[in-house]
Amino acid sequence: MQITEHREGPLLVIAVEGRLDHAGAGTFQDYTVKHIQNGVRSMVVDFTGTTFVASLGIRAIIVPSQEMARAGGRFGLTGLSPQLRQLFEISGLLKVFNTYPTLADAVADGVWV
Amino acid sequence: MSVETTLRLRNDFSELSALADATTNFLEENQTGLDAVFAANLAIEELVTNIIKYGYDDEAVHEISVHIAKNADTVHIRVCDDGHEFNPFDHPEPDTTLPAEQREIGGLGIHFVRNMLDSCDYRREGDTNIVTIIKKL
Repeated sequence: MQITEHREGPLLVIAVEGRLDHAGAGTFQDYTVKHIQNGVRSMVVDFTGTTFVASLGIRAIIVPSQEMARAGGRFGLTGLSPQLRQLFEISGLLKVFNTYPTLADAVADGVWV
Repeated sequence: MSVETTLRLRNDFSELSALADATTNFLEENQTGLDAVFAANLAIEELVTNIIKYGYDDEAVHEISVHIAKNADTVHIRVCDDGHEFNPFDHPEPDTTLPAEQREIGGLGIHFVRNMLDSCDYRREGDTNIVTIIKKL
């Protein structure tokens, strides 16, 4: 798994490449939570390059989303493959997360601060 | 035509990424669609993670075997281990209607396997746990 980040105006975009599995989950969680603790309040995770997510990966996505809610910021997801979307659906999480069809849709949303 | 492979690993988390690569390579080389590759990876990762985490009462090295067979209509996966008797499907489904912050995370992996695969079966033969999973193509 590889994590890269870039800015789109007020928005911090975190892109996950490869497998968000047992090996990558902790790294991803620490990476995103650290940004929130350091003051980031607008974050979108881009899963376009993500080939696989396991239950530990889903957990690692829930943790920063809760952290962001507590901090009063906004956390979004984009680039979900049909398989990843199905995992969120099965978890009952699709309606909990802010999801965007594409990164451009996320950037165009007026909610980021 | 049916193709098959058997992958063997030690009960060590460091073995998981090689197992995932071998699973993915085998299925892709045999023209398996994205959906089934994802589902097979999910079943194997969740089951083997559970076995390594909860399956053993000692510190010894154990072997886990993963057998994958693909034919025109299905992918069959059979995971065998010599850990203590444990049926991963003999647990209540997690409550996925609760808000994210009130969830218990445990059990989510097996919940995924039950829902993403077409059939899940457990049996105990002698000292071996045998889980058989089927994904229809």
